[in-house]
Amino acid sequence: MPTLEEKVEQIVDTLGTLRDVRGVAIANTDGFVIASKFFASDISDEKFAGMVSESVSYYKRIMDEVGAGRVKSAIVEGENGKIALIVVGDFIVIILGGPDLNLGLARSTLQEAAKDLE
Amino acid sequence: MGMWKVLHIGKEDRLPGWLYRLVSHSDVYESTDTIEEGLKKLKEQKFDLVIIGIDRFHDAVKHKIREIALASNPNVDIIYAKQIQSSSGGMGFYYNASQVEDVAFNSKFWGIAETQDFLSLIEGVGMTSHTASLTIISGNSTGVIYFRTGNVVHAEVNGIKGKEAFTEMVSWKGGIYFVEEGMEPPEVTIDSSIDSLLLEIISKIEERNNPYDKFIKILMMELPADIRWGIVVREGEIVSRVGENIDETVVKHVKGFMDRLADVIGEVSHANLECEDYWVTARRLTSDTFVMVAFQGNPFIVDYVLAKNLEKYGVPAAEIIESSSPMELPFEEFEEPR
Repeated sequence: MPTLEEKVEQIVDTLGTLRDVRGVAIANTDGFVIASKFFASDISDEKFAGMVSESVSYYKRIMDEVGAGRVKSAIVEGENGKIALIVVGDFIVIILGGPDLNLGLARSTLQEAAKDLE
Repeated sequence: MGMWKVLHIGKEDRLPGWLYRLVSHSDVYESTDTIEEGLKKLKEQKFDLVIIGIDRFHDAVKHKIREIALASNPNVDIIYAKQIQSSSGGMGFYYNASQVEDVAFNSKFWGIAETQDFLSLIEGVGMTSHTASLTIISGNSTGVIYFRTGNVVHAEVNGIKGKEAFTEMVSWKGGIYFVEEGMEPPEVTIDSSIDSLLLEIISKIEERNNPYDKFIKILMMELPADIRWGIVVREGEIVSRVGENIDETVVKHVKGFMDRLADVIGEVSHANLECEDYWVTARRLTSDTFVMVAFQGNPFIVDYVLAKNLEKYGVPAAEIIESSSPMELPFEEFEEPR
């Protein structure tokens, strides 16, 4: 039976195989990064972790205000890249991709990979 | 030319300044605050003009002031005067005494009402269910609205007729008006109940003031999902909304979320947030404007349709907003969904 640490490493590795993935991170719902892997040199570890932490906090606030129930996932497109995230229990798994990241595939891979965290 | 004699019965300080100056230069000007004193003066000499404060109406009728003045001089003019205090200052009104008595003792009402709300004025006249005309003088324009059995059937202003004229008058901020009963419309140009007419006009005005209202309504109709709410946010404020109420703090957080991610992936053009009960999707229209929709349904189909509709409506809306004042927006440029 793999440990949580091993599961996290395995998820990060799996997600890292997707096309145009620039980074993968697993954080807890307080925004602390548990594991991460970067394939892009232009984003620092700290910057990505800070982004993850703050965006998770905003994301939680949005859902609290909207009153739409438990948060499940998000996909975001920017002019230089894309982000897909999924919430599993106390964890948030985030993929940072470039413009060629397939968000549909990223989302389904996230859902599949995240099952191991449940 | 004979002597010009004026009698005033009432409080002198309630006479408008100009009228006081006019009558006080008469050959004879008498003023008294009491009916008894006025009667005494009427019996002493013939007056050409008798001005009675309208607050003395009952005493004047009771003591037959009009009859006594007429008996003394059949050519006497008798008027009731009233100084009306209003939020916009005082206005003096003068009524022919015989007509005032005629109205007061008959089954009709005649008077002056101040209102700051044009729609209340329209509804007020409409509620009488009478055939009448409502003339309004506002700024450099005079408009007339005709009612038949309580419904607006015709409107005219500055050469414009029908609903367009009515809409023009609804936008007026103030003016003086008078209602004339029994006035038949010269033609019929409006054919809807007063409620539906007002609803239509209010909706037009709202759309004119806020082009995104129409934009978001069209979007909501086009989206293939169960829409909970939709909003357009400009510079962090909700400028248009449809559906359920939404707290403005949500907007702040969504903006924060998108701004924060922009540090890593550039300006966010689109975000899809999935939660237990429904999806929330946000798409950027311009650098400071985005549309947000909460829905239950397939997010990918919704997203596709939303993106297509933004291509169709979003760009003109953004261009119009940036180039025109809200009151001058050419709505015809929005194509209604088929």
